[in-house]
Amino acid sequence: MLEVKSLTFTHEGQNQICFPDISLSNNEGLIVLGNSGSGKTTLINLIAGLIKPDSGDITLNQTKYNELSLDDLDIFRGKNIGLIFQKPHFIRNLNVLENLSLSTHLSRNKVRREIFEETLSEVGLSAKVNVRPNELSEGEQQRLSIAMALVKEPSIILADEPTSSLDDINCNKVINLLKAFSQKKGCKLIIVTHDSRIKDLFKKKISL
Amino acid sequence: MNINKLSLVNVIRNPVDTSVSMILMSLGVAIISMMLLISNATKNQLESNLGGVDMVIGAKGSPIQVILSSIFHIDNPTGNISLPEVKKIVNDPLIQSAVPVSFGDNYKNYRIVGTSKEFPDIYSAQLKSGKIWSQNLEVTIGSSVAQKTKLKIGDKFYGSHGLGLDGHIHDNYDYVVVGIFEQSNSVLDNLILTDTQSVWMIHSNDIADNQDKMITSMLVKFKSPIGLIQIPRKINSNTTFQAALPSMEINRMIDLLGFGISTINIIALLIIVVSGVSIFLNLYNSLRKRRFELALIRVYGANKLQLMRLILQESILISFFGTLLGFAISRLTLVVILNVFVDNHNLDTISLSFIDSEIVIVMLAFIVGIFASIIPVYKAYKIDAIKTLTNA
Repeated sequence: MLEVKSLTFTHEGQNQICFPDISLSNNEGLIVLGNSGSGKTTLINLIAGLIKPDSGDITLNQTKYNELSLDDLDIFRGKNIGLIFQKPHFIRNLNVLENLSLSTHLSRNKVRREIFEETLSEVGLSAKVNVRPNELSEGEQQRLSIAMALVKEPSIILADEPTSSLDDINCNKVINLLKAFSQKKGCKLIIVTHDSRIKDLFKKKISL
Repeated sequence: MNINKLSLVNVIRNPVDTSVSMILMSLGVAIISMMLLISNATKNQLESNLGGVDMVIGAKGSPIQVILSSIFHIDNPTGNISLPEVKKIVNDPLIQSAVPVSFGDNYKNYRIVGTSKEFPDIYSAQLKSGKIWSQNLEVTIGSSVAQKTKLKIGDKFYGSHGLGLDGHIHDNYDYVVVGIFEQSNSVLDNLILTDTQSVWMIHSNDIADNQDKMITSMLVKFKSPIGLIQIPRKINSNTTFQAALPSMEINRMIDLLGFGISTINIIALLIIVVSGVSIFLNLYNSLRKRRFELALIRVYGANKLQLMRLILQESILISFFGTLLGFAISRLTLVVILNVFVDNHNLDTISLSFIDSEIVIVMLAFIVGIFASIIPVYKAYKIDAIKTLTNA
């Protein structure tokens, strides 16, 4: 269960942004629409616990962010939240498998090779286990970043414009992957986008 | 995969970025380690060659030359001294033993030394095979001589005059090998020993009959330290001989040597400092390139301390690998120098194993690694993960 209540945030030298309340149960998906500069990414960062709001409460699975120290919040995020960025980033010197292994280790989840291989095969990267990320195509990189978010079996996935740089085929692949995983593992899904191809993906949507 | 492995991977999989720093570090380390190995070996060599000799009586001249020629056998003697005359001096209750040394000939650059049977005792030398000489023209040879010249017991050879290779050959008498010494890691390994009588016999044409029997020098051991105080002064002021004290001359030589070594060491230290600067620049530049990666590691769940440790470890690993490389280079270089360029028998026994004083180099490299990483570590600490990733 994710609850977001009367959340506000101010970027330096800009007007305060007030976010609508959100309530999301397991399995549910939410589309966040809005023009650039409307605070879409800010909302993701707030829910991810990467930045602190001016006011308001975020509660994920009965844990209130306000009550966690910064270090505890880092650990909490690592365990429970899968982040997918607009542009995927990886550790250059590590291959696909090592990237998965490092992020799992740092987020204090169990490092299990079977899970990595299973997830990689789900995103269609089984053959790329020993390849360095910068040798992957853009679509493959985005699928890898999804695999990175999925391996720790998070309770919520936050995806920031995951399809904006992808063609139609890759866009479909990515969306189907996310939906299938969310159904299978009962995990919440928030997708921030201005991509018209996916704006009707879920019943629940908010506009900023 | 964890932070430790990641730091190792970052160093190993970026050979282009890290090799310059590593090579610089290894050069500095190699030079210092080579100096340490050489001076360590030299010191050991000097001390073991000293054996039990407290004083050398020789002809007047440079005392250092007397020591170099009579103890280390690497210089020409200052001249000859009369045996009956010197015997009067060493007949003193303060003197425990006096061993005569005469030389002037060589075989394939190995010195033929005429002496008494006490000479091997100075170096506590043991026989490996055969026996000590007993007849004229019999010789007992050092282990290196046997190894390099392939002389065996029963072999005969002519000595050639002088201490260089191109002296005239004394082909009227031939020496015969009767024994070979065990290796003693002293100058004895490179000597051919015979009786003083044999040397006189070979040079009998050169010596007028009415002349005193001459030797090159006398190696003296005192009974007590009082001898060291009284006798050298007596000899130097009352006789035509001179008394040279090996321990004093060796200290003078080490001082001279030490000056050269410390100059070279300062240059090597500078190279190590430059390598530290290079590690710093390396990390600093890579930090710009890796801003996203470091931010990502934070978002994965690593705290700032882990991030700082990553950078620190990379720096220390680069200097550590450089140091290992340096140790390898110093030893390889010494092996090449010893086997290809130098025909100096005295350096044959240099030891290539790790010596205690090299720990100082390891610590030095460690400290350089830490210092080089201070600013990059601070930079990593200051990275704002969210800004870095969201402003992409």
